Amino acid sequence: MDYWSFLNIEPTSDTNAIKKAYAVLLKENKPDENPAGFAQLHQAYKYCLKEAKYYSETSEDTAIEEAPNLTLNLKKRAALVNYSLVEDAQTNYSSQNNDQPTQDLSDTGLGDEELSDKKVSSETGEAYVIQDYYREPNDSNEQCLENEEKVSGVDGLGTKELVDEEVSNDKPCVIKDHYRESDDNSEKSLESQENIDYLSAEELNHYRQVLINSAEQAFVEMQQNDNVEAWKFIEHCDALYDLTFKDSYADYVFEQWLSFLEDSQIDAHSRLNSLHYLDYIFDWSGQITDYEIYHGEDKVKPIFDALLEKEIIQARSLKWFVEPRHTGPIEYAGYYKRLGATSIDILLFYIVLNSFFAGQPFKDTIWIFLGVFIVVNAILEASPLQGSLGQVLFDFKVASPKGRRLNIFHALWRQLVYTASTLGFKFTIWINFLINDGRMLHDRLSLSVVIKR
Amino acid sequence: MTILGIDLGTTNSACAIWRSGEPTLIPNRLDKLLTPSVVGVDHSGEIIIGETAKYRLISHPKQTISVFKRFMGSQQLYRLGKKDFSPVELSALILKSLKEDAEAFLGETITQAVISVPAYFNDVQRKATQQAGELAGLKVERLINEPTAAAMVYGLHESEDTTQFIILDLGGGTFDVTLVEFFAGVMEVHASSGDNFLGGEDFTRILVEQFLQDNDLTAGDLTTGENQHLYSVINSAKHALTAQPLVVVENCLAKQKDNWSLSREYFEQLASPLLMRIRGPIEKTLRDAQVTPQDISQVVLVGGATRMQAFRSLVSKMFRRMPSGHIDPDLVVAMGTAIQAGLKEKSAELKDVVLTDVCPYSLGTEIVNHNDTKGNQGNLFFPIIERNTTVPCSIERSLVTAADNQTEISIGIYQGESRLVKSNIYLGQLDVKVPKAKAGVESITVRYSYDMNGLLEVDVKVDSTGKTVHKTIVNSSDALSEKDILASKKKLDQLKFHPRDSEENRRLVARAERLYESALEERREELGRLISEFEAVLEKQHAKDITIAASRMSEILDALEKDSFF
Repeated sequence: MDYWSFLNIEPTSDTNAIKKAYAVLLKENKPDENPAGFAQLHQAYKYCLKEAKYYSETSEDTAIEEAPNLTLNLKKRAALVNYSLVEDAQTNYSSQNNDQPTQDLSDTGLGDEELSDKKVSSETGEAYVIQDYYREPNDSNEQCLENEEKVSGVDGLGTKELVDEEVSNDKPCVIKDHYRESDDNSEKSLESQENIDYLSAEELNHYRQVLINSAEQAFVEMQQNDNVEAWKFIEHCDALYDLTFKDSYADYVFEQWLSFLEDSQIDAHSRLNSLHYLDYIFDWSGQITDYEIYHGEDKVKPIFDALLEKEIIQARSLKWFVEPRHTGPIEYAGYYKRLGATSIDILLFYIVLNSFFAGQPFKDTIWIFLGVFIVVNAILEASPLQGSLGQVLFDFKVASPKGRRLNIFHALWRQLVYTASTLGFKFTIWINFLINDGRMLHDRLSLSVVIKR
Repeated sequence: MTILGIDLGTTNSACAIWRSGEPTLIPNRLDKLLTPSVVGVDHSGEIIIGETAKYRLISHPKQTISVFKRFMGSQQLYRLGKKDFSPVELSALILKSLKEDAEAFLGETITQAVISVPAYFNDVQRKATQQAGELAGLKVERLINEPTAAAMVYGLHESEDTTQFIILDLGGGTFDVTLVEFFAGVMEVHASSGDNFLGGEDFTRILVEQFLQDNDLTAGDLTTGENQHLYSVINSAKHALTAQPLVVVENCLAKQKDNWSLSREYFEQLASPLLMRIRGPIEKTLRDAQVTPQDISQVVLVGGATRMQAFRSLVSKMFRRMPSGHIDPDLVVAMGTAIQAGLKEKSAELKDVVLTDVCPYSLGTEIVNHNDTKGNQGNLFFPIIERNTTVPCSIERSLVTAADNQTEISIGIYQGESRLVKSNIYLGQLDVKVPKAKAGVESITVRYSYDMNGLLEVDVKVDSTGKTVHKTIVNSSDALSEKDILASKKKLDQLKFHPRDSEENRRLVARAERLYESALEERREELGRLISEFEAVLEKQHAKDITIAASRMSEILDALEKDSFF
């Protein structure tokens, strides 16, 4: 189906036209009145918006198309930068250095002209991203300060475009008005709360240097041990409130980690605390696909594998809390592992009881053995442990089919049925083998399940 | 037929209706717009709700419960008097009280409601909220996400062509971030993110811990009453900090050594881990929607905790502008629910307004992880509805058998963003039988449908036999059965409530008792005398005398409260 004609418009790159057409049709296909119609309409709308974006991008900038394998990441990054020079520089850079993203800036396709224009010093070449982003606030800073009175709501970090746009729309003034209103509404002291600091050019330069130096220092520390404190400086850096800048710094730190791990041959697992902390700050694992596409899946694997493993450990340890009901999927325990668990139980009981009743004839002890076995195991299964010792060792638990812990009578009944069916071993083993769906005969008869924790 | 809009909050609740083209807030029996979400029981077994109960938190900590919304959808039980209550039942009590207030205000019976939930509430928590509504005798017409409700209030009169708002909702117990676009009467939610366990209460708790540490105390050294008292003092200190740069807490506990001063800087330093956690969801939302802070035309603050200076300065640093909060952040959600109620009533003024919302988390199933040879990763999560998909939506995916001669496929239903199912939230399971065949031959079609209320339905069709299985997600471990609901309803119906008309006087007594608990020496004696005098007047039941005594009492209490802690 042609989505454009569905919306009653010609293909266009004008998103506003699409939105208008969508809005008109939406009134007849409200989501709660006509869900099916809405779903169709929304699909058309999303498709057209995507097309429109593609049109405008291809007409404005063909460079992105030339590096298709980088499209996703670049588009995303480009969307974050509203400064065309940076975008071009990055596009050129990346498209010509697919294989070596961390290569020194002086080797990239950037012309000298552009370089000098942006006053990028080549000595800290790896930090290209930061420098790019850092430059723009410096440029616009004076203008921003000039406009200080008018746009007091806008921080000095604002780019030139932002400031212009804001002034022309009178946005900050509107916001200010709201503020006054709220002041009148006895919401005092709001005024005094708005002390957004302006960052001067020197301060910005200072921040850039501090961040790069601090990262270097942190890596020196990382050579020795996994000290999270080494990275705490990130929390205290005001410049990182700028999301664009923070993202670029995140990329920078990530690249540094890649080369650090490669150079030092240190296992990422041994620096897990630091990596996890940085992931928490920068949300690397949330953008895993972008990093995989940009750096190559194999290259980033050590870091993400380590980060993911941490997740597993957390998930596993959680399972050891006593839960009133089993949460999570019900997975039946395997036959052979259960056999192992039972063998351990029997062995343990045998050893303990044998030492108590050493001299007694076998015929007497077997009954004591059975009685103790039934009672103790029933108690264990009804306890918060929810399993005999063998079962606990194998990470199983006994529960009702609904996942609840058994009560003591239910557990006793289960043990009796178990003993009975074990006595008819020759017969029951075939039943168990034939049914073989994870539930054994005594599980069925006693209405219980043995599941993985 | 009036539909009541209800904001069922962690700390406070409020309700509103759509009247003559605008949301109208409904005052409660004490003529206040906010009803604290606190439930208590008195010595005669009667249920007390709202402000009266809030005062009793300190004087009767064991008979009063607050902040139970955090445990919605969990197995947590609270003991109140002689009975155990689930969070659902407690919420139902609050809803019932709001419903009564609205009925008294409007003079008509109300049977339908729109209730707000945090955007990040999962399926189980949403179901629980719906059940609470049912228990209170309200048919829940719609569950609306809190930030979306707030956005509607701000966006209703938005005339500009295309604008984007970001809504930051920091309530008592939850934090939600939502990005909304407005154009031509359409309010489109783009992305939502949040933290279900981060709110104003956490900030207070951090301060309380610090206070104890600075005074060489631990929570165990104090009685329950003292702990509650300390909590409320610190909480009001936190509130006071929005108006003044320095707050000094003195004589709050008998065991307190020195005056404890709390400056804004100190607060910010103590709260920095929480402030870091606030940044995460904001960044995630912007990243998901591929939007920069510059694209956003207004930053809207919702929820009482957004009054914190530390929060505001964080937001202005991130967005480089002043956030707007000119509509009372405590009431804006209730107003939004009223707008949604108006939409539901098909009100003429809202004819051209359409709201579309998103599903804030990914929903999917599990698939076999072939790389997992050691068995320590477990199955992989296979998202079917990706996060931030516009709802209602219905998405189909095909799955095939993983093993030869497999006779059954079990479809685990999960919610979350992790690659491994183990780290995601389990919602339920559905089993279908398939004919025996080689691995990968038999296929099933799984359809996830997510409706406007944020509730999920799963359909599975076996392709070869055409057999279908349907499941509305009811979490195996948490949902109440029909029988449970009936039992709860009966239990709640048996409860006695305080008569509405005497509420004001009871509140005065509760307030005086709270002061009594926290006062020391002479003042304590004075208060004790006051309370018994007042209760004596109440017993005589002379309406005129009571009015006079009550007004005198409240004057005295006002004066006492003023110079109590700060």
